[in-house]
Amino acid sequence: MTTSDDLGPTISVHLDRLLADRGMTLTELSQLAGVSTVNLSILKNGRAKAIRFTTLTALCEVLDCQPGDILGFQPRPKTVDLSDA
Amino acid sequence: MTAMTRKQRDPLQPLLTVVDFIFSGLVVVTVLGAGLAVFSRGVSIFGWSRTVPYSVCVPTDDSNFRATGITVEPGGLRPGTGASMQSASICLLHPTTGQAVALTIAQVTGFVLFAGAFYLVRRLLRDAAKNGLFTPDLARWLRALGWWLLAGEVIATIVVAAIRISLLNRMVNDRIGPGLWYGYLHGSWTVIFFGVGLITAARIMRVGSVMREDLEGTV
Repeated sequence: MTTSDDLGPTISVHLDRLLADRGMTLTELSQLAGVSTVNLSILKNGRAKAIRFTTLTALCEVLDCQPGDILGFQPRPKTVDLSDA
Repeated sequence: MTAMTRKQRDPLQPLLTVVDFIFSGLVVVTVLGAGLAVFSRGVSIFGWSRTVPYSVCVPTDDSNFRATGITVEPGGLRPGTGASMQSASICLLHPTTGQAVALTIAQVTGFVLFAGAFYLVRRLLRDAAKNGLFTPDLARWLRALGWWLLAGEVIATIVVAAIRISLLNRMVNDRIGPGLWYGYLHGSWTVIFFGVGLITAARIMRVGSVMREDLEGTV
């Protein structure tokens, strides 16, 4: 899932893939990490606008991964400025 | 007991209670006043009563009138004008409907400003109670209230001054020239200041609403 702003998707969240790899449910992750299922659902579905370091730390500890495994950066497609042509 | 464990109070409650009480009183007094003006003699509301139009009076004991420098003397008044020492005012004894309506507008302007402000405060508080604090809607209501007070006070001051000067010029021989109008152009600086403050508060609220939205999206 990706979070998006007015200029299109940039940061993607790979929580669903990590959960599948570890055979873990969202509820189990919630209980182990101490993060509410509501917040995890917001994060998983790409509706989060920001993530706290404490949340990221808890997720990395439970999933035994690096922040880069949870989040990914997708560059915006480059646009061509035709005004100078 | 720490602040964290203390029960959170409704931040809107004090003003909501007061505004509800005053707004209810305002409605009751207006309805009763209108009823008495229709059914009783000697009672008027905004210059209108069962016996309208009886007379149109402008007070002479206030600083506005003194600023004009006009003295109320028998020779200084135009025909059809009377001076009442009891109420310290001069009156058109046989006003036209237009003059009576003009006085009503002058009297009702302040009431409309006051009642409108209370209505907006009430709507603002109801919206905040329903949709929460720090919302774009609440910022809009605050801005509306601020502009209502600011523009309303300025317009009301000009309208009331213009009507009173116009009526006075029909009552006295000495004409009140534009140079003396400033005496009647004194609105409430407190209301104007409050209006500007509310417009500023609305802008702060708009910034706050964006921050709240961001905070809600933080996990």
